[in-house]
Amino acid sequence: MSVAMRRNLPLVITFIAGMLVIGDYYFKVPDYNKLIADWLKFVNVAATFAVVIGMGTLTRIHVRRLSQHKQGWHNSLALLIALYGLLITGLVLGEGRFTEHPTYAYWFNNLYVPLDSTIFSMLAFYIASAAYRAFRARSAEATVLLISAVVVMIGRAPIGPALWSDLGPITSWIMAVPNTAGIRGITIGVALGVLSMGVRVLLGRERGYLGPGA
Amino acid sequence: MSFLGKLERVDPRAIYLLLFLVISIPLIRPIGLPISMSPMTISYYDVVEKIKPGDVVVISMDYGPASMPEQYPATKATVAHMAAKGAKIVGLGFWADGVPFMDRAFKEILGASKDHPKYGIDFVNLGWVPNGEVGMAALGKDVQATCTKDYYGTPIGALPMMKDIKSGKDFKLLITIASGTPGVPEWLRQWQAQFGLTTITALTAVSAPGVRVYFPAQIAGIIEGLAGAAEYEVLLARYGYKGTLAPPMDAQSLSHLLVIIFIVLGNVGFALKKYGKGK
Repeated sequence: MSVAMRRNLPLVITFIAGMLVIGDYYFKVPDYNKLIADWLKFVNVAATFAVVIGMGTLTRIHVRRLSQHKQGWHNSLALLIALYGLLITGLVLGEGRFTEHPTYAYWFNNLYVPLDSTIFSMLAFYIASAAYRAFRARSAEATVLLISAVVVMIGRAPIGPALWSDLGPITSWIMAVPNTAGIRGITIGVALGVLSMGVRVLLGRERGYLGPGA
Repeated sequence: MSFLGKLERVDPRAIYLLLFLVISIPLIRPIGLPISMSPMTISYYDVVEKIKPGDVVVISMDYGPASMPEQYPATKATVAHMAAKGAKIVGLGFWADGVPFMDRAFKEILGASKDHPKYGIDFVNLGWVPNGEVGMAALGKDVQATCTKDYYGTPIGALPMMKDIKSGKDFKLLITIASGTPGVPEWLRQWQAQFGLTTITALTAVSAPGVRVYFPAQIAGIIEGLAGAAEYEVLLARYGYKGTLAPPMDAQSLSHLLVIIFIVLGNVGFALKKYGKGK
């Protein structure tokens, strides 16, 4: 395959695939819509194989760390045991039914769920400590942020409206007006950025997804 | 260290210990603070309330075990509400580790999942749908081809209620219990915008501000975090639903109060020190 072909073929495929899927949104032609439905199924199946590739890469990296006794190698060992232990439990002991099988569900419910929930719950402690350190009225803007944070924090918990009934409506106003206005602006900005990036990808101006040197 | 310095630099371990106590004590001995009502939770309730017997509703588990303590109460309450309204429930999930919570909610609310005599007639669990937003698009176009089997391995053709459900157009309501990506924006792009489907969501509190921008035009109702779920439980009391979130909300109240006390103390120390230096 020539260099020009190797360089341009992925761009042509991207353009055609992108335009076909976009067109499906605007044109209601049964055969065409069916073709896109099948195309999406194909993408779904193809992307699922990425899990296998990901597992292979993950295994290679951590086996290497383990064999070279690099710093933190015991974490790699724990990862490999958990990854393949649960895979074997689900596939062999769980007859391929994974969480639906009681053996796998036991480990899922009694190991994974409490561990993951605990890690997330610990955020409460770090956030409390960080809020105490970070919320200082150093400037006018920081003071506004501090006051809004305190009002929302107390107003969204039952104790706030129980102490002062107007705190609920004030909290709702902060969340619904200044907060939503700010986020809406950011959302619109991001959407425009994504749109322009999409157009650049379709037109072959943005080639980062093809890898280095494309 | 001076007193002012101490106010500004409290040992984090002291904060952790006090926080642990103010969270634990109300869980053991609840205070029973009244739970107020937010307009978004009321809207969420009202949307489910409008469901007529036989309407097909899709509920998606778009969260994992990390946010399970915050999201599962809303999942359970929503399933209970839909069951009370006589909806036909299609459960599924775009987070692989969130789908077991659908099964758990069916078992806890309806008494059983796949062994229930009404399984496949009044409710199904289609399990995990892979590949995020592309998976949502594929599901919306062709439900039967995207989910060929349910969570328990039963072919979708063997489930009577799935016979007439071909695409996103065949649903009356979409509910996503979400905490990240894929979540609300993906559902809005691939389902709400495509099929004009009424959509409501239950979210983790931290992700709620980003989704409020879609309320009420695209998202008709929002349950925001544990507080929203507690409010929803209060609304469901008329159906005899017994909530579990009053003690955790007491804990949340006291923990927020403690954080505010520390913020005030820190600022008092900061202001006095600054004023002192100025002098």
